[in-house]
Amino acid sequence: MKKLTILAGLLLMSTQVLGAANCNTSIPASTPDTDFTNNGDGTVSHSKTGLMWKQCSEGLSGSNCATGTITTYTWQQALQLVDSLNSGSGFAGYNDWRLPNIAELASILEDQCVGPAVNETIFPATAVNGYWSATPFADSVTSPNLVWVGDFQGGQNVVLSKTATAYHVRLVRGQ
Amino acid sequence: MHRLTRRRIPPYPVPSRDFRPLFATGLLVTTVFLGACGGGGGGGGSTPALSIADAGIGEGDNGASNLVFTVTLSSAAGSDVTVDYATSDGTASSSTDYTSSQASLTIPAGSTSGTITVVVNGDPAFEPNETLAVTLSNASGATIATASATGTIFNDDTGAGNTLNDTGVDTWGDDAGNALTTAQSTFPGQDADTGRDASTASNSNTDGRLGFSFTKLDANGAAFADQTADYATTPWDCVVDNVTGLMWEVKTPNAAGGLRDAAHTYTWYDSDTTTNGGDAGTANGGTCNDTTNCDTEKYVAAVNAAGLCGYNDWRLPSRRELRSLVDYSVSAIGNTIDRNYFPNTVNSFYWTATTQASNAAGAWTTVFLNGGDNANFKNGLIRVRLVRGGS
Repeated sequence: MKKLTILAGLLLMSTQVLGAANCNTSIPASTPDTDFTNNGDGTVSHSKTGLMWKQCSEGLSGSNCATGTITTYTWQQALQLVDSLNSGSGFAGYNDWRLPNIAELASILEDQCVGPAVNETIFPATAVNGYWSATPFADSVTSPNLVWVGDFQGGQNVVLSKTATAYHVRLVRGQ
Repeated sequence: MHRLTRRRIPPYPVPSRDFRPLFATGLLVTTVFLGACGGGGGGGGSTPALSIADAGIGEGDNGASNLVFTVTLSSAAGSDVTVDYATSDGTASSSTDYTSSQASLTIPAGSTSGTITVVVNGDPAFEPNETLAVTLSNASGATIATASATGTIFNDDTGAGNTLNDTGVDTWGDDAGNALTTAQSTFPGQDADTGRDASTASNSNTDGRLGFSFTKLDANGAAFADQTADYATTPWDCVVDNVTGLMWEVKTPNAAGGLRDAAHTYTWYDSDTTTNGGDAGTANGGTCNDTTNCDTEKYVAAVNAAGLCGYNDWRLPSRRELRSLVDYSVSAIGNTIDRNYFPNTVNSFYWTATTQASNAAGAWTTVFLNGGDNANFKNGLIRVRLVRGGS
């Protein structure tokens, strides 16, 4: 069985990467616009899963997520960021935001697109890079430091070190 | 610019494994059935004790069926034993799902058991497994050892296929390690803190590990009344996921032969240019039941022709659908899927219907070795598990 070479490290730009997704429209869309409701407050509701997502990656704001600088965090920083947000002012009137688990995070991967593998109308300015999930990797013996990460470059779930590199954060709530 | 350090998910092992009533009114007088006769008629001194056991039934798509509870007596009594009983709603409702009943059961002298029958209403709507309770009271001629039993109406219908499964992860991590068994205050808000896995309302292991909930279906698509039997004793053909609403093919034992043998491999092939990403893949390149149908498209056609579980709308799952079966608490070689419901799963790759956006010569697989995603060339020799339902 041959595996594609996507496993070799891909060059990814962590900051100021905007738009430029390459999409193949003869692949069925996994996150069409019609599956989302824009709530007009920086959040979108995904009718399929029932989850509410913050549109902008942490560090960015504004209707096109064009304000600010996208930020990276270690896994612990990412978890603590959410905790601080909820115990402080919250966002869009909610104080129950979460770091998504890996199944939730993968539910907004767009199968048609790479670089980033996301619907950029719904999630503008998504980084072509990794986003943390809240799901530790099960193998605690041989890989104690790994956590599941959504790779929004190629659009797949991978496991990465919690501390070696900082990645991005997109928040979810509901369910 | 920097590198996303991409680590292959390593192939290491790790195993893993493992009701309640309220009150309702009822007015129906239900018939009383006699059980098998016990030995002598004497009872031998001490007062016998009554126990009622849990019961289950597949919901069915229409009409009424009988959910039968067995009440046993610890020893036969010298005179008739009577006991009152009443049904009460759990998650099932007596207004729609079953007919409530409140009556008296008599176990004649010399017998050691009787049965209580509750009428269940079938429908074709996707619902979770539902429960009701039967509670015994006012026994005469016996004591009550086990007063209440749960009856489960097993879902056998498919739904929209959109609800996500939880991950199965019920442990925490810190910077040094994973698999910690308590919540971590300095690493707050982890997967294990929330969701179906973390809620006692949904994390029973009786219907699939933690938040997962599955029903085993027979060759006709009917739910087994006894969901606890193992595959070797009572093999099943399909499983319905009571969270996502998807119905799944169950593979038959490795190398035992037949259309759905777990050992068979297929090349990825989709002749539909609106869905194949611009590359139809490789026809008939796998090793399967015959020498002509060993690709995904032909396998789908063959399973539909066979009418697996009574259906002919089986298809290759999308990425999100196949990923919904991954139990992320199991790592490497343990099978990242609930083997109690999906026996004969190989620690390997399974095709999805989804072409890789960055290279149309590839399609995505889910790896039931570690739960990861992998793209493979469409001429790869890969296994298949079909799905139906969803919208």
